[in-house]
Amino acid sequence: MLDRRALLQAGVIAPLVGLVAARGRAERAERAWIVFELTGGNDGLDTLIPFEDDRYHRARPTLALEKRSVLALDEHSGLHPALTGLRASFERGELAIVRGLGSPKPDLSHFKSQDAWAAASVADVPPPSGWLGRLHDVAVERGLWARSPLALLAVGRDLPPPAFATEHFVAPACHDFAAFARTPLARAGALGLDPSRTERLREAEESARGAAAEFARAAGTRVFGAYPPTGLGDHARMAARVRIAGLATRVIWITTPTFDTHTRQRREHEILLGRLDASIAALRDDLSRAGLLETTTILTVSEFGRRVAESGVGADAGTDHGNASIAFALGGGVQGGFAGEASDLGDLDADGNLRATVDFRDYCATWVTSAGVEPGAVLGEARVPLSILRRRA
Amino acid sequence: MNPHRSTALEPFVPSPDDPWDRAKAAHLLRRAGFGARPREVLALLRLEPAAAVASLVDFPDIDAELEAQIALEGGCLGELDNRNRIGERLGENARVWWLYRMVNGRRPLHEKLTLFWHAHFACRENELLPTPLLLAQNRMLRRLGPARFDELLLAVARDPAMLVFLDNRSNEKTRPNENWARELLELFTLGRGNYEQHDVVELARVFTGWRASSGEEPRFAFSAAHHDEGDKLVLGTKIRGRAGASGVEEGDEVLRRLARAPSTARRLADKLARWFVCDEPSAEIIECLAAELAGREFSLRETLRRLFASRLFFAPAQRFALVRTPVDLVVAAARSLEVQNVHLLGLETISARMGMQLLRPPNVAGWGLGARWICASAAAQRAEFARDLAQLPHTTRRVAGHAALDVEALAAGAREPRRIASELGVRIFGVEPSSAALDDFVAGLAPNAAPNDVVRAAIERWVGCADFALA
Repeated sequence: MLDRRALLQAGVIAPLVGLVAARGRAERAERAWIVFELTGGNDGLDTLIPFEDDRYHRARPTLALEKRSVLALDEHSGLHPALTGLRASFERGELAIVRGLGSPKPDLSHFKSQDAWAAASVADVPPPSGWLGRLHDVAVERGLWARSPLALLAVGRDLPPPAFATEHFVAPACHDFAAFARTPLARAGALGLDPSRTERLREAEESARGAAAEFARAAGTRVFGAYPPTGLGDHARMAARVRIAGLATRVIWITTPTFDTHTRQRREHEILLGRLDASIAALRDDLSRAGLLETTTILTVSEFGRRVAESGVGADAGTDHGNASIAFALGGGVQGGFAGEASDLGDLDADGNLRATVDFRDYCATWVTSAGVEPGAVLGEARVPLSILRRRA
Repeated sequence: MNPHRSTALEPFVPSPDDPWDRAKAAHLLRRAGFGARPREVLALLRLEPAAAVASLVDFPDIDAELEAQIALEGGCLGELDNRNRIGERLGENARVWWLYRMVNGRRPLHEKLTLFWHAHFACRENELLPTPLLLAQNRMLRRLGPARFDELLLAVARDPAMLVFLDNRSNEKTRPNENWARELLELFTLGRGNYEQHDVVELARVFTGWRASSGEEPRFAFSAAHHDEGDKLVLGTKIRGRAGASGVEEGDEVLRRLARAPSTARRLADKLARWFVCDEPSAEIIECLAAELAGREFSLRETLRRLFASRLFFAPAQRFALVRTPVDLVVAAARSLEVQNVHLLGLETISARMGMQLLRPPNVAGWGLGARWICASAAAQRAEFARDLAQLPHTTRRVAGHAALDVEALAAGAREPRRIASELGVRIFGVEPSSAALDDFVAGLAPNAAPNDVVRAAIERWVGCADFALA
């Protein structure tokens, strides 16, 4: 039998220290995060309903949901009736519901609030890079994530989301894996230019070819979940395929418009939440079937919640922009149950909005931490992760 | 000794060894516009270099009223043919309108310069900043962009879109808002490292009371009641506080000073170099351009005239030394191929998919340049765009209802595949493809491919390849 020294010399095994580090990397490298962005500002109050609170019913004579229709989770609160899949996950102990999630410096502009969320910052002028882009840079630099053109991937979008922005990486966005895989990528140049001039462009083409091959693999991966026949359902299916095909993608971003329910909220919100619930449930089932639920975290973000008081009348009733809302986190390493205090309906801010009890930057810090990176390295300040992560064995 | 010698832009003078030729004329057209159509190249070659530059730089002033009319009434595509997109969003229409002008306009430099300023004073459409305000801003950038930077800066500071976008309309003496003051120093003039936070604070006080009227057509309005009348100290210089309507003069005083500061000249020179010369400009180029700006009253038109006529600009090292922005790329392709009904081609969607949506820059810093545009998705998008262009329906005369190509005219009478590929290469790049690339292209064709199919294959190949991503 060959001794260790001989193996080392032959380059067959790495020195022990390196070996341990490599194994640690491999374990973490399998993890992934799937972000559902509920653009427009999701109404937390009609998502997690405080059905016993009279102030809720008084503020929303048209929109308030009755106790009997709500999917009760405890004596005070329950989920919107469209969220049956999420209720099942809650009962299985795999869903965390973050309450009172918002900003200490709320801004009623979608644009400014989206910018703040993208950068995980409340600065007047947030940094141009996104928090996931910065996480990518740190994780790759430290060898926690493999360098890959697909490390951050947006599906069903024209452009990568601002949260992915970084100077060192431009994430791909893909609408359709099969179409991307069929793209006839150019061969060779045309003008016989100095190779130094086209080197990076050729690298990008190589990378697109690599991505196309990976996407072809993803496109051919079988999934079983009952995805709703909508754009969001398709994108959730794409996310499942990325995971099951084993692509080197660490963060998948799915954008779903538009929760900006200024009018006709009762009907619109039910449709929106129904699609979201069915998409997440199908994705959850596929991940679970493939044994990937433990290493995949599904989470939601939304730039703000909505005004407590409804506006408009009858079927037209809706809500204006607000502050605190709720978020869902499901799967990999998540401790099921409630996190954060529900915002106090008796203590609204000057605009009539719910105050945040959980800082959205701490929510971002939670996912940075779950990637094995200290929040300060990504968020520029020491944020405190929420206690919704299970301790690793 | 002439201290300016090293920073002067020496004019290019043709010689038998270094003639005024097709490669140089096409280079000028790619930079001063979008792509180089063969007849435009020929027209420039009939002129002396300086006159060729003048033909591009001395574009006529435009009728701002007409622009506004087209933009806001009768559907923004009133001057185009049928199918104006009534019912769709005005922002979408505005993008189509602008791209249409870039592709078909007779003053491509005017469009490119307006795009340059749009990327510099980058305001983004959102629910607080609706499209009409951005169109009004666009009109202002068109009118003042070619002229003196100080006049432009004064107008930008009063522009309702900017007052909304950077919140200066809520900058009041009791609660100053620093947003505009900070970007003015950091992005629009001096640049980082040339001011301190206390300058931002003091400058914000200078601009208190600069606001926009409310209503359908907001205009600049100075509110003396909200203006801080105290003295300010900006960049080491005391600004005397003024009461009443003359409070507005404080801002004008500072704006004029900022516009003409040496670090502003360097910052603008760096940006001009990255837009019009190369991705990684040398210190020499930047110094030259900064000196030109300062020596020509910060007139963009005069600075570009000197730049485009210079030996430095025509040096072979500068050719294909710029990574195109997505807008440049799609417009250059459509312009070179003379796509008909280009407003129905969806360039606004294609460039957005590539990451650049007009009137929606990612943030106030505008779009990145150069290598930033190189990525896997861009390569795939470019290839897809090339294929879609190549598959456009054929037409021999102007048709309504869909975008189309006159495929036969693009072959310029050539029948032989290698000749066709060469003609298309000249049209798309402005210069002939290499012999090796032509060989490779012909080798990949089906035997007995019909001329029209060769044209389509050449479009897909040349527009899709990496070299087309460079200008």
